[in-house]
Amino acid sequence: MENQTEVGASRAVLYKVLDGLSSKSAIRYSVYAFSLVFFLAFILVPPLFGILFKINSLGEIYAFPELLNRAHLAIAWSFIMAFIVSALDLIAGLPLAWFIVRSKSRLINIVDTLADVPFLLPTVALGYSTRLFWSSSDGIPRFFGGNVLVSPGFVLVLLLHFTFSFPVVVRVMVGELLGYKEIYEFAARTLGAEPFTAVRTITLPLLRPALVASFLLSFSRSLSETGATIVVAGTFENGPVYINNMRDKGFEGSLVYVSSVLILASVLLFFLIRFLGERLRLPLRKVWPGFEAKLSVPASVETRNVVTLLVFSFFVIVPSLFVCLPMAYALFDGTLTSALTGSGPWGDFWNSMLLSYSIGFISTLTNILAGLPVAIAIARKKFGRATSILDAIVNIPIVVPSIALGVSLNFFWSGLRAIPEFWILVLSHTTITYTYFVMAMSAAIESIPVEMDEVASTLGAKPFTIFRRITLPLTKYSVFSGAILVFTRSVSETGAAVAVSKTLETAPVLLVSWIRGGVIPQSTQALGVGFLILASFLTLLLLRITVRGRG
Amino acid sequence: MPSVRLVDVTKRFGKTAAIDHVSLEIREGEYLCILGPTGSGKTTLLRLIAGIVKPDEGQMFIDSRLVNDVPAHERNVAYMPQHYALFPHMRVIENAAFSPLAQGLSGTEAAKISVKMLGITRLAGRVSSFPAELSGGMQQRLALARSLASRAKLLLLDEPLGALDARLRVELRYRLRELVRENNLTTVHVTHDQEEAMIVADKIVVLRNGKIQQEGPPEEIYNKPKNIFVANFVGGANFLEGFISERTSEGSWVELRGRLRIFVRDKGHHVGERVVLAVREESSTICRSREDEINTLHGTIKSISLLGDSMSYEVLLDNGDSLKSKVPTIESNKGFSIGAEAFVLLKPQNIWVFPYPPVGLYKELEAM
Repeated sequence: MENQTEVGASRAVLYKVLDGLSSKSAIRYSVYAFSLVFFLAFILVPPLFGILFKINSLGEIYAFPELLNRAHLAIAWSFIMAFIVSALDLIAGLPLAWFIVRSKSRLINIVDTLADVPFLLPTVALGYSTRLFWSSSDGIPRFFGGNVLVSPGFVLVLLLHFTFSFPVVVRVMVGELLGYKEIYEFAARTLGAEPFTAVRTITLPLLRPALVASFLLSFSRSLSETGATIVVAGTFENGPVYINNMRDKGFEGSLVYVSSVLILASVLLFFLIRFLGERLRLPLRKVWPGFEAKLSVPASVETRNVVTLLVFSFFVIVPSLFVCLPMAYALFDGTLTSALTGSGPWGDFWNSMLLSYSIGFISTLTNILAGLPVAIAIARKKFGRATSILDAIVNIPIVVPSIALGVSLNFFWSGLRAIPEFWILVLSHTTITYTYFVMAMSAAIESIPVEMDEVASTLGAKPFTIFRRITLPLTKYSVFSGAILVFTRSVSETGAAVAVSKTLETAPVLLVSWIRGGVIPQSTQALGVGFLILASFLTLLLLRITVRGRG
Repeated sequence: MPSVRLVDVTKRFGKTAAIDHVSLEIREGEYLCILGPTGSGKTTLLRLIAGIVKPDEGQMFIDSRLVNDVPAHERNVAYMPQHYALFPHMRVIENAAFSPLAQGLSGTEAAKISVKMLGITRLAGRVSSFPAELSGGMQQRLALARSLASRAKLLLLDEPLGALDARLRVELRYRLRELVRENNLTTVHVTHDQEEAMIVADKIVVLRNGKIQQEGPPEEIYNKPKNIFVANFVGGANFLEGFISERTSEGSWVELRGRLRIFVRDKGHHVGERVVLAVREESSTICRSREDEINTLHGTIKSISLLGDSMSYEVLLDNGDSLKSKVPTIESNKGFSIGAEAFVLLKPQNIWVFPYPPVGLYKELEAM
């Protein structure tokens, strides 16, 4: 009891000190300035300018025209692939989002939950599962009497990218449709528009920002993905696969060339889409009453829903969860025992899991501390007009393909020789995940009416009290979900980790080398992937319980 | 009780001056209403006093203390925004206790003050509810209790009744006035509802485009509007264009369209000057026959509207102008129907004369 009183008293003293500090504008602005400097020095500059340290080696690639051609082809494929995948995602994802929001079927909750599965799986696990499903004798080929239905290569990469970027589109569009006021659609229908026409001419144009955002997210996810792509690529090369191959062979010039082109092109494209997206006018005014009436009849709607669900099941859910099958075999064939005793390759595996989790923990903590002031600054427009610039450039780490980012980061931090490999890994994971936290938090803070802060202030609350008693309680779920996102993203990151690793291997990197090496038995691979998935789910569960507990 | 003084205060957003060289004095214990149309700068003026925004020019004093650079949390004012900004994650009692706790009072003291204020605002029975569980009227009272619990003696209310339905609004405006009086508060109340301002205010400031148009007690604003804008915004009026055709020792003759002549008491304008005549609807009398030799205008009834306690007749005059006349419903049974012949009598003492606005009458009236 006495202890509790003491704790309470010292907490009150701490709050008072922080209150006093926060009411000094010089100190308040120092916090913003510090977090901004952190963002520039640790998040923005290293990935963009690290590559300049090795710009001299760029000449090497011109000595090998064949490598240069391959590089150009790989870069082109990266963008073509991202474009096709994002377009397919929109075509297939929008009807599913519609189904989830508008259908009264009891299936909705199940479909809604399942739609997140590929999002939560570490991509390397997803790649492995996809490969087993489409191109192994245990998967779908067995029904067609062969060993392989889709060989590793372009089509398999396309299928994989479709699978993992699909939930992004569904999630964004479901959120947007839930917030959309149906009244506009009703108004159009009372004015004589068929349901399909009302949606096409009224709802879709109003949802344009979300359509552009989901296209952009899906595009950058496809452009950036490395771990899973390597697993299913075969001889096909896109940017990240090419970088990985060149890294294996030690061709630094090629590495620098493709990385810098990818960084530059993706940043330019991001700003272009962001800029043009706002000005984009969808040519949707024309109406075809007869044809659209046919599309609006219940039979057409039912058919569309069935096709949507079939595509969702066959191309997204089953390939994602297919890994469960070999995992189940591995539980009973002795692999589990050797895994738990740490024999054979499992010693390395557990070390890599520990490494991944340590990195995830440190980078999450760093991002919360350094990212929160930036999120507040963006949400509350603390830097005036410069805020919108900050808001845009904060996105760069997720827009740039993570392996290119890793290559650049590696050059940057390795240039400062005193930094140990572990910390370079931590820094690169922090960079990769920074945007997720800042964006999640700034959106949450923006949703709190600014009047709350103003009223609290006129009621005598100093800035720290406002933060502690208003901002934090109202955004705590976002803080936790932002942290979860950062943590899971860090633990499953492959591209940057591959680029930075020298002697240390994180779990996804180790699993990629297991799968590609061909030495480790399939049951061991499957169980390794299974442990990574299990650990991800347990982390999510733990954090969710913590949030509820404090609720 | 604090007093507030603004000296030549200007606040700009970009190139637009939301508040344009405003000087204003609010005496201790005064209930001041800032009245104006949307975009007139009312809320900005309130936020300047609250310390949420800083003036670009001028000086602001609260109790003779220059407060230009004093942050909101040190001004000891209670600001209540339009939609109350009740803290949704806190219960009623926690909302009310927020300010005492933020000011460093102990939990017991904070609880004592907030319970008292919740009692005053008749919310004692709902201490454990969350704001979302309260009705609109209760939310408004909670916001008021939270403000009162801050023990600030300067209360700043931004459209405090705006979010309520019409009936509740009427009921609560009296209660609000009582509460303010009982607690000896100096109050600044922003509204666009002139009826509300007339009822609660000791003094009204009419604002337009960031500039004060007129300030004074409600009767003065209503009975002696300084310009066309105030006459129209506060109470509404008929407006007729014309020019001074003759001056006499008693007043002036104004010639309207169609050579119609009106006699007014005003002597402040010279012969030949373009003017606008304004007359309240309730000051223009509608009759079936010519009851006076002068200022009785002939026309036909164009429309009839029942406004509840009064009837409004719109008469199309022979010269093409329109005039509205408001008659208590109970006295309105004169058998008028649309298209019937009618006369409108304008008594000279009830007619205001304003110089013709440089932007034109139509624009001047539209600019609200």
